[in-house]
Amino acid sequence: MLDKRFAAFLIDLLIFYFLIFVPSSFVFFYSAGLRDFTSLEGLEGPSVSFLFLSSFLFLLYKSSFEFSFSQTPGKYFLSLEVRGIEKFGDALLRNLPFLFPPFFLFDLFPLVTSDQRLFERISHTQVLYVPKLVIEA
Amino acid sequence: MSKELRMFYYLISLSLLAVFFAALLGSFFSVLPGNVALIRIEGEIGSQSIFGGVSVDDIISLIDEAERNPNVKVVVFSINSPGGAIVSVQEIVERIKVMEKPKIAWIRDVGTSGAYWIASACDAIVASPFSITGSIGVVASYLEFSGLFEKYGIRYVNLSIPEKKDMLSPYRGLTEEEKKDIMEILNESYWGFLEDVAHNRNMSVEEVTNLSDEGAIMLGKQAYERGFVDYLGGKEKVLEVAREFGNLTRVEVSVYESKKDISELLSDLLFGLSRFELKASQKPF
Repeated sequence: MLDKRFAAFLIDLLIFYFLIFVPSSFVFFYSAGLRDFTSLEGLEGPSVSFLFLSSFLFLLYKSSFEFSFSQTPGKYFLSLEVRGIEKFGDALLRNLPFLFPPFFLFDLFPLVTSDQRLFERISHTQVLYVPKLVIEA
Repeated sequence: MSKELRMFYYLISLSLLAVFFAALLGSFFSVLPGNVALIRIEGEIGSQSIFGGVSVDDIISLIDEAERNPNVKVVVFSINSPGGAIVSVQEIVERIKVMEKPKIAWIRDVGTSGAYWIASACDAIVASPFSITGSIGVVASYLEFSGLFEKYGIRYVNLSIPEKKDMLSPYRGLTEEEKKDIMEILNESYWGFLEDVAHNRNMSVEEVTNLSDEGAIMLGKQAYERGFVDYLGGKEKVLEVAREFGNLTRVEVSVYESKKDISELLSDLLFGLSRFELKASQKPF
């Protein structure tokens, strides 16, 4: 199960990176006035702001997909679903460590002995493997 | 609509929302887009900018701003100044010398004395044939009222230890010895100026001494003939030289300038202080 979850996470990261992070970074720096994209030297301030924005966008990506579809695109490909989300706040809470990456280590620690992250326990949500049913005749 | 299709549309919507937020957040940062930074050096140069002069701190802050901006490939100094305080001028010269980006001096109406020294520190100098430049030399002057006091029977009594403590007092004339001391200081300053210009322009000190005609002013045309100016021309020439030095295919100029609000202007006037907030701006060039 952990390997499936890790693979799903990687797929989500890739999708997020190519479809959200890259286009929004171009737009962000272009509207900040940058025209030479070969170097960000001198743009340390805006770069840090953009990193915070990216963390927020990743949180939004995961939370909104899990709330709306019970799964992110990555989880969809690995037949994983999130159960226990009753309101959007639950989805936000379970994904909160993505907003503050240093918290992620604490969040992952319980996976050593169980199949729930710390914030999954706090939000009372769980990831289950739900293979697609195939009926053959 | 299938779940897969809904997820796909949802992803596209999220992507567009992210781009919108990114554009909104990016607009709060003002990195000037131009690849040529234009910094104006206008008026008398000193440590404070009062009554239309320019302060050394302002200029250096603008240079720092242009160097930090990754868009900027070339810096152009638009010079319209008779020079100024030697310490302030030298600070600007030293800062220009350590700039990493190509720098071009554009002498407008006037670029004499310290202003020419600043221009000489750049990689190239462009001037109009009728610009006034040169005046490579130093001057010290002050008003001395001893004659006026004598006329009205006013006596200046000085008690100072040591004796030369009140040298340059406006209430008495200079002694021969004091004059000699001051001329020594001026001589040191002059030679420092001269040697630096010679070094910057790749000329010998003798050449600069001879060609600068005892500190006289000269037209841009004359300066060009004597090797003190590299190109003759105006704005178009400057842009052409900037394109060449910066290896640019297109040229977009951003004007870097400091702005003062009314309270800061009043403060300068009343207290001679220069509190300011540096604001670089995109202005027509």
